[in-house]
Amino acid sequence: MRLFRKLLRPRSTKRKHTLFTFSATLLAATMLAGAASGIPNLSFAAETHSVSADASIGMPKHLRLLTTQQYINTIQYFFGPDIKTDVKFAPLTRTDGVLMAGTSVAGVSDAQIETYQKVANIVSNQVVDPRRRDTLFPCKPASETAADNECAGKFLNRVIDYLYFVPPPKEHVEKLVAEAGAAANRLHDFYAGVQVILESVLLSPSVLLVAEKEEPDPKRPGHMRLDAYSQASRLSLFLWNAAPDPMLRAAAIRGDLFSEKSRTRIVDAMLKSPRLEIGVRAFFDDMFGLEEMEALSKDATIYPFFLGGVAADAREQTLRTVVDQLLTKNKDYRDVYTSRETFISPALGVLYGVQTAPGWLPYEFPHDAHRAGILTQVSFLALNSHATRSSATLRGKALRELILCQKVPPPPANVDFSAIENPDPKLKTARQRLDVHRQNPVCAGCHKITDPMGLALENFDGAGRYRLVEKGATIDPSGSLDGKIFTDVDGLGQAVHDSPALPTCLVRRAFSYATAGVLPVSSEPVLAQLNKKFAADSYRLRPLLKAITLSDAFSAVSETGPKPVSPEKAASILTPNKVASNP
Amino acid sequence: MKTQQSTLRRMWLGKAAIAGFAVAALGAGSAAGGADDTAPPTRSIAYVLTTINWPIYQAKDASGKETKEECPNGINDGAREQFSASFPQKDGKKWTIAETTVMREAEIWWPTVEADKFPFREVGGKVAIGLNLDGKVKPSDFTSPDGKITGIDNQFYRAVGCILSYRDGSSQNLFENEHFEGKQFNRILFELTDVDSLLNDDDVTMTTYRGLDPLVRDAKGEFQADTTQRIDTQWGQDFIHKSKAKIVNGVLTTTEPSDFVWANEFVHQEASLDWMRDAHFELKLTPDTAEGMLGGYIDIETNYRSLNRRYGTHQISYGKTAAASLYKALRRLADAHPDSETGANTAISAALRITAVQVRLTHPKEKVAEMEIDKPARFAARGEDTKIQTR
Amino acid sequence: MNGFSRRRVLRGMLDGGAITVGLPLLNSFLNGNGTAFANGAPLPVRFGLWSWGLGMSRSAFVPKKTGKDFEFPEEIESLAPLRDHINVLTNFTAFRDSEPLKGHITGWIISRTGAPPNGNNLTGETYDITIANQISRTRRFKTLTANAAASARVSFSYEDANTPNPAEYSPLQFYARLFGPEFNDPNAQDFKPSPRAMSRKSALSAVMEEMEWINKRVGAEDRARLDQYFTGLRHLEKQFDQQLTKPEPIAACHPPVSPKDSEMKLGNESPLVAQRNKMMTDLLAMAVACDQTRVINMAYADMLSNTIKPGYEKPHHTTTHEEPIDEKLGYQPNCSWFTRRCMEGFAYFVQAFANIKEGDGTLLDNMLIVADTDHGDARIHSLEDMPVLTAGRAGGKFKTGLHVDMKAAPLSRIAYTALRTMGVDVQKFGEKSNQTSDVISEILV
Repeated sequence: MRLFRKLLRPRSTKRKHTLFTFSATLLAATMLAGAASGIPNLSFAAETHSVSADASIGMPKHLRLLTTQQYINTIQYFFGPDIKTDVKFAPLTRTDGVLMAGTSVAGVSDAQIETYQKVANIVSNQVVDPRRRDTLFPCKPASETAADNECAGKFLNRVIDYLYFVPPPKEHVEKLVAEAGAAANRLHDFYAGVQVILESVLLSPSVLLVAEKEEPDPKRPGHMRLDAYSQASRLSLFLWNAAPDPMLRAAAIRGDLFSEKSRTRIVDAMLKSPRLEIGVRAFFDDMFGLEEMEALSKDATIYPFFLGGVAADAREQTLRTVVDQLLTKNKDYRDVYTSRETFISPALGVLYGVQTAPGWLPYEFPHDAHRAGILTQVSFLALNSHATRSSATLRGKALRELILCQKVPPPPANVDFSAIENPDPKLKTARQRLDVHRQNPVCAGCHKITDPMGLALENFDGAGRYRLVEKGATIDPSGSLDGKIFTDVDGLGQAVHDSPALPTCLVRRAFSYATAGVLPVSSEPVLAQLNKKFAADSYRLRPLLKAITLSDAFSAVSETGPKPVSPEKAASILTPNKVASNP
Repeated sequence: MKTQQSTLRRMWLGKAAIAGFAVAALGAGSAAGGADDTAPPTRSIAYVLTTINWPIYQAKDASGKETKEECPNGINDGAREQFSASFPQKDGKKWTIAETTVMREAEIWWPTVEADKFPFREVGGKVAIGLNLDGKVKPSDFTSPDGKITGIDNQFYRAVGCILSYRDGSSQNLFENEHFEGKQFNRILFELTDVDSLLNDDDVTMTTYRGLDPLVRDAKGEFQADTTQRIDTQWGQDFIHKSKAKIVNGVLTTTEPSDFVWANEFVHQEASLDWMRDAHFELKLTPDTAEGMLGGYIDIETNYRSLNRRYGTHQISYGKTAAASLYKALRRLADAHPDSETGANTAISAALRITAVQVRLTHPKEKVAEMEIDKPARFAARGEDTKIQTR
Repeated sequence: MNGFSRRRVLRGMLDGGAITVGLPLLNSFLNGNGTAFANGAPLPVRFGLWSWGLGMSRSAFVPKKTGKDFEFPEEIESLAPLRDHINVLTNFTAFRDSEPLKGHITGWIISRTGAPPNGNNLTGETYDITIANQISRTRRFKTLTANAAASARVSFSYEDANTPNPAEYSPLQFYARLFGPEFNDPNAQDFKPSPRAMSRKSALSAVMEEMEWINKRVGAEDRARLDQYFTGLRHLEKQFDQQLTKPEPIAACHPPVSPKDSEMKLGNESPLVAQRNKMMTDLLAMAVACDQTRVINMAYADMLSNTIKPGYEKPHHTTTHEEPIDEKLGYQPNCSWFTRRCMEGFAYFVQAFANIKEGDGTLLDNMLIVADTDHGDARIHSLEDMPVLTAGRAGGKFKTGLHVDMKAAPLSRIAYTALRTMGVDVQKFGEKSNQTSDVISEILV
C-alpha cells in the first residue's frame, strides 16, 4: 500500500501536464476522425502519459445535491427501511458520460423544494407515528401533550448529528429544540411538535446539499485539500451512495481522514461494509445509463413478450451480474463482458428462453447460447434499440460511448433515413439496410465507427430476444472492433474484453463519479496512475475503489480557475466530422 | 440439464424457422408456426392449460341467432324460481326458516335420486359436441354439429345443456375462466415424453400434473408460451396420471384411458376438484400451443360436491342452477362405473374443451418414475369432506 | 359577552393570540377584477374526480360521431346541456396483465393507480393524491372525499395501499367539518390562524438560518444555486403565510346553511342517492369556491352499487349480471336505467361548478374534473371499451365539447394527462401494459 501511495505522490510539481494531456487528447481526436475516414486498426484514446506528471493535482470542489437514491438511502439507514419515501427528484443531466456529475450543476427549482417538503412531510409523520416513535425516540416525553425539551433535544441532536453534513452550532440546535417545544405547547402534542421541526430539518439545505469546502493542506504547503466533512461526504456518497454514517462522521471530526494509516483503515472498513454493494450498484447503474430503463417500452404487437416487468428485471439482472462478478466473486472487470454467469427471474425467462423459478436464480448460459457478457443482456440490447426494431447503430454507439469512453459524432443534418425507416423490402436484414448508409459518404464516417460491432449483436431483436433470421434471411453476425475481426457476438465480447479502452474507461468514469464532476484535463496524470494500478491489480474493482479513494487527487482541491474542459468535450470540439468523410 | 434443454429448444425452433414455418412474417423471432417433424429437445414438451370449458352445443339459425331447439322445453328454473314456487307468499301464510331455507339446504347437501318435485328440462336435440367413447352408436348418443362424428357420448350435456349457467354468455362461464386463470390452485399441466416428432409419432407418453406458477399474459393479452412451471409433487399427487398416446398429423390422441383430475378453486379458497374417468385426449399440437377436446366419464359425486362448494348465491341464482334437481338428472342419466353394491352408475359421459400453451417444466428432485402414479385418485372418498390443501 | 363563549376565548388565547395581522404578500392578492393574482399569475386550477359504478351500455352510451358535433345517445342525454363544458372519451382499455381479474375492483384501481391490484390491494397511491400533494398541500384540506352511497367504506382515494382517505358519507357531518366552527370565512371580519401552520412556518424560518453558514462554504460559481434553494424555501414560507394571513375575500364563497337532520335519510333507493349526490356536490363546490381544498373526490355509488330502482326487484349490480339483453334495444334496459341516473348525478355535479362565478368566467373553467368507472360492460366484467368523462377547461389547458374514440388506448392515459395538466412533472404513469407517457393531445389546447 505504501508503495502505491508513493507512486501517486508528486515527483514534480511542475505543471507541464496540461499541455501534454491536451496534445494527447488532440491525438485521440485525430484518430477518431481517422476512424471516420475508414483507417483500419485505429486505437482510441491513447493513455500514454508520462509517470512523471503530477498525479496529485486536485479536482474542483462542488456544491452537490443529493440524488433521490442517496436521500432515500440516508433516510432509511437512519430511520429504518420501512420508511416510505416514494419520491423522485428532478432528473439530472448526464455530463461526459456520468449522471452523478449532474449533481454538481443541477439547479433547485421551487417545485424541487416542494418535492423536498412533500417527502419531508411524509417521512416526519412516519417517524413520529405511534407505531415507530418508541423505537426511534431515545426517550419518552414526560407528557405527550406538552413540550419536553430534554427529550426533544436528545432526539433532534441525534438526527442532526447524522443528517447534517456539517455539525451546526450548538445554539442552532437549541433553537430548533425550543421551536419543537413551542410547537408542542401550541398543538398540545409533544410528537406533533417534533414532527413539525423534523419536517423542516428534512428539507434543510444542510441535509440535501453537500457544500464541499477546501482548506490548506498542512502536509503539502501551497496545496489545498477538502476539509474533513467534505471528505467524509465524498467517500460515503461514492462508496455507499448515502450520507456518512455516525462512525465515519466521528472519524472525520477526529481528523482521522487526514492520516494515511487511519484513512486506509476507514476505507478498508467501508469496502467491507454491505453498503458497498449499494454504492457499486449505483455507480454501474449510472455508467450504463440504466436509469433510462424506467421509461423503456416496446411495441406490444411486435414484442408481446416484453412485459412491463421485463425492463425493471433486466436492469436488476445487469446490476446483479456486475455485483456478483466484481464484488462477490472478485473477478477481473473485463470478464463482465465475456462471462456466461448471470441471474434470471421469471419475467426474463421467456425472453432468454430459460427455465426459471420465483425470485432470482443464479444461471450460467451454455457455451453455445451466445449470451456471454453484459452486452448480450436485455438491458443493453433493448435499451439501445428502437421500440419496433433493433439498432446496430445505437448499440455500437452505446458501446463506444458508455463502455469505451469514446465519442461518436452526431449525425449530420439532412440525412436520408428512408432506407432505414421505410426500407426496400428486398433489404431484409439490418446489415443490408445499413449498407446503404455505409455507401453514402456523408453517413459512412460515423457508421463505420458504430456499425461493425453493432451488427454483431443483430442476433438479438429489439427486445433482446435471440433470433437467427430477420424477415426470412439468415443474419450474419460477423463484425469488427478496432481492427479485430470476429464472426459472432462471442467474438465481439472477447474483442471488448481485450480492448485497452475498456479498463481505462472504467477508471475514468469511476473517478468522475467519485468526484461528482467533469474531469479537468489536469486529471489525466492521476488517471494514468490509476490505470496502471488497476492493471497491476488484475482489474479487480475493490482495489480500484481503494486506489481512487486513497489517491491525493480524490481529496485535494485544485485552484478554482476557468471551468475545466473535459478531454471528451475537447475531442468532440476538435473532431471535425467533415474531415475525410465529407465529399 | 436445464441449460442444455434451453439451448436445444431455441435451436429446435430456430431450425423450424429456417425451414420456413411461417415465422419470418412475425418478425419477432417467434416460432409459433406449425409443428416440426423433428424431435423436441430432450424428446419432451409440456403445456399448461389456459382454459377449460364444457362444450355446450347451442343451435343457431342461418343468421347466427340462437334457436334454442336443443331445449324443446325451455331453460330450467333456478333456485330462486323453485323457492318462490315452493313457498308462495299469499293468504298471510308464514313460513319458518326450518320449513324453507333449511329444508332446501338439506335437499342440496344430502341429495337423493327420488323423483324431482320440479320439472327438469333435459336437452332434447340429437346434436352435441364430444367424442364417441365406447365406439358404439346408441340411441342416447349424439352426432357432432358437422355430422362427421356419430355415437358421441355426452350425457352430461343432456343434463346441463338447458341450465343457464352452463350456456354461452352466462356469467358463470366467465367466472370459471377467470378463476381458472387467476387462482393458483387451478394450474394443470401435461407433459409429453418420448416424442420423436410433434407431427407424427405412434408412441409417446402423456403425464398430467398440477403446477405451481401463475399463467402469464403477454403485452397483447394473449397467454405467453415458454414460461416456467414447477410441478407440485407435495400436494399434487392426485393430479398425476400417465397414459400412452400417439401423434398423427400434429394431433395427439391418447391410446389408453386414464384419469384426468383438474382443480376448480373459485371465488374464495375452496379447493374443489373434478374427476374425469377413462379420459381420452384429442389435441392439436404446435410448439407453442395445444388445444382440443377430451372425453370421459365425470364422477358425479365429485362434480356435484365441487359445484356446491364453489357456487354461492351469485352463481346459483344468476345462473339459474337448481343443484338438487341437477343431481337427480346426473344420476338418472349416468352411464358408467356402476357402484359395486347398488349397481347404480356413478359416472356420466362428458366432454371438455381445453386450450394450453407450452411451458418449461421444472421437475422436482425426485424422479417422476419413482412417484406413485397411475393409481386411482385418492381424493374421491364419497360422502366425506375431503380436504385438499392449497399451498 | 353574548356569543363570546369560554371555549372561544381559550382558543383565541392559546392558538391565535400571537398573530393578529398577516403580512402583506404579493402572491396572495388577486388583481382588481379577480381573473388572476396581482402579479399576473393565473388563478389556480382545481382538480376533481367523480366515479360511478358498473360501466355503461355501449350502444346507448357511446356517440356514433367523434369530434365536435357528436350526438348524445340516450344513456348520456342528461349531459347534452353541458356539451360546451365536457368531453366524452370512449374505448379505453385497462390492462390487468398477469394479475387475475378481481371483479369490480380491478378496473377502478387501474384507473386510479395505473396498475392492477395486487391481491385485493392497491400498489400505491391514487393519482388524485399525487395531484393533491402537488397543488393542495397548503390548503386547509389537502383533499376532500365524499360519496352519495351513505357508506364510509366507499372511497376511491388512497394515500397508499393501506390508507384510504375516509369518505364523507353524511352531508350533515360533512357540513360540520367544512363550515363548522373551524371554518375561516374569507369574507368574515374575524380571523384565527392555524396553530400548525404557525409552527411549521416558525420551524422553517429557523432552518432557513442555516443558509448563512452554508453560504460561507460555497464559492462564487455555486452561489446562484444556493440562492435558488433559498428562494424555494422562501416560497414555501409564503405558502404558510397564506394560511396565517386573513384570507382575501372571495366573492364566490358563500357558505351554505347546514342541512337539516330531517333531510338525512339512509337507504339505497335511487332518489335518495340522487338527493345525497346533490347535497354532497353543493358542499364540495362551495369548499372549492372558498379555496378550502383544491382536490376533491366524489363517488356516486360503490362500484358494486346497491342502488335500488323503486318497483324493480334487483339492485344495480345484480341487474348487470342477471338482466337479459333486450334484443330490440341491444342492451339491458334496467341496467341502463341505473347508468342514466348516474349520468344525471354527474350532470348535477358539473353544473354546480358552472354555476359559481369566478373572475370573468366560472369555477368550472378553472377546474379539471374526471369521471371514471370500473368496467366497460359490467355484465361480463369487461376492462375494454371503458368510458371516461371530463369536465372543465383546466384554466384554459383543456378543450371541451369533444367525443374522442380512444381506440383501445390504455386507460392510464387519462390519469397521465390529468397529472401533467395539473403540473405534476412525471415522465410516465402506470405499470406494465398500463404504463404510458402519452397525454391525450386531442383534448389539450
